[in-house]
Amino acid sequence: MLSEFQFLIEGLQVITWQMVLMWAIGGLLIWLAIKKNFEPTLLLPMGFGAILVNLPLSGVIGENGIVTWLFEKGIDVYEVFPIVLFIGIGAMIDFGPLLSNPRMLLFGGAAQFGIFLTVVLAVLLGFDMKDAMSAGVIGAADGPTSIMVSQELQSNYMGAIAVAAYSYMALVPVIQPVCIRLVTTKKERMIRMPYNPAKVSKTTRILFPIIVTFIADLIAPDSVALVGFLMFGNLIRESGCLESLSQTAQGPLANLITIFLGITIAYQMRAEVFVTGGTLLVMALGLFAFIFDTIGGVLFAKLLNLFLPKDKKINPMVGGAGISAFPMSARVIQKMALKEDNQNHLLMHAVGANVAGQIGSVVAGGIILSLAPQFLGL
Amino acid sequence: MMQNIFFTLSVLFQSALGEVTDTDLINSLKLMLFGMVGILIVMIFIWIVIAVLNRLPSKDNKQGK
Repeated sequence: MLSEFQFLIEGLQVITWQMVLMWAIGGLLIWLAIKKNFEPTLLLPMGFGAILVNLPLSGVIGENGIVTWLFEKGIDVYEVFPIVLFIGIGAMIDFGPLLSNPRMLLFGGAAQFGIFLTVVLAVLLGFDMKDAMSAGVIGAADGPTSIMVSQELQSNYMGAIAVAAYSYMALVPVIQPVCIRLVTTKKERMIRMPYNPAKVSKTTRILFPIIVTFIADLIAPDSVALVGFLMFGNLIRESGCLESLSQTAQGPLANLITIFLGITIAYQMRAEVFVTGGTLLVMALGLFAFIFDTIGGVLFAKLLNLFLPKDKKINPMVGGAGISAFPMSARVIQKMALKEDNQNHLLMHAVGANVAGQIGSVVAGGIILSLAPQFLGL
Repeated sequence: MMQNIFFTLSVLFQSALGEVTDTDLINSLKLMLFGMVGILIVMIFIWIVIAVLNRLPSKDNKQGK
């Protein structure tokens, strides 16, 4: 008689400690999102998704599972979710501070240094090139880029990479001040930078996204999916005649994709692929990448200062804002500058560098994808 | 000489994850070089484009004058 009701406890019988660990990790992500406000839009769906896909005999994964279907259609084949999300991100970005102060672009490039240094470290730790490259891209401080690159390279650590990318982004206000203080003197942090922005015409704002797409394609063709969609979103914003589409891209579209992206990424958080030693190392590598992005940007500013006249020196902290975490990084720099000298306003310079970092991160992702065939023998 | 250095490095960093190959190590260093140079070239190109765009005569500027 009891054996007739065996089906009621089938689920209980297949619970493993790895599943329980994943429920705890899912719970932790939800807690970080709600209590600590750490990138809640992504960490909460990812946290719940982590629980969902790790339930015993979960119906959301497998041949007819909805999460499997979402992953296959939304990420696996054409990376639809991360790429479409870029339309929304592009529509949110005001490139004005960068267009009026374009030298900040250099920091958007220099602050990607952590990505490449992390690839070297990952290789030294024993990761193969595809996983090393994917782990390095956490340093792009750009969730969709990290997801897209790791998926395109078929990394085994995509779940960990997404968690690391979004968690560390939320930790920028903690990570960056420590790194910046480590490599700058008080005198350097007190350098003042007058802000005299050039006037930016509407024509410039409209032509900018179109021309950047061309440049990205000519130099790193694989970056054009990322850069192109980012710039498409920005063109909608700047066109001035598509206000409704711009608002839709910034709001409903971005929100909708974010909801699905978070829960879909959880597909890669199944216990059998997530609970490995490599996951912990990937998380550590992500932190390393963020640290050396900041340090790379700051040291590059210091290098430039060697060649600049005394009245044109750059506050090296601005270089640290060249990462993609917008606008947190710019705010951190402004706060640090005011702490050293309450009359030193670096916000607009930092915003320029921060916006440049958004371009830099997608270009870095694209360059990695362009170089991957050469290094992976594809 | 360089090969000896890479060999020593890879032996030093043998990890639980797997064997570190000299090829991967050299490739990762090449990636760092090409990647950083590539990004800086893209950024400089974009800088030049912005500089040119900012010099274009525009309706806004004329109105300003």
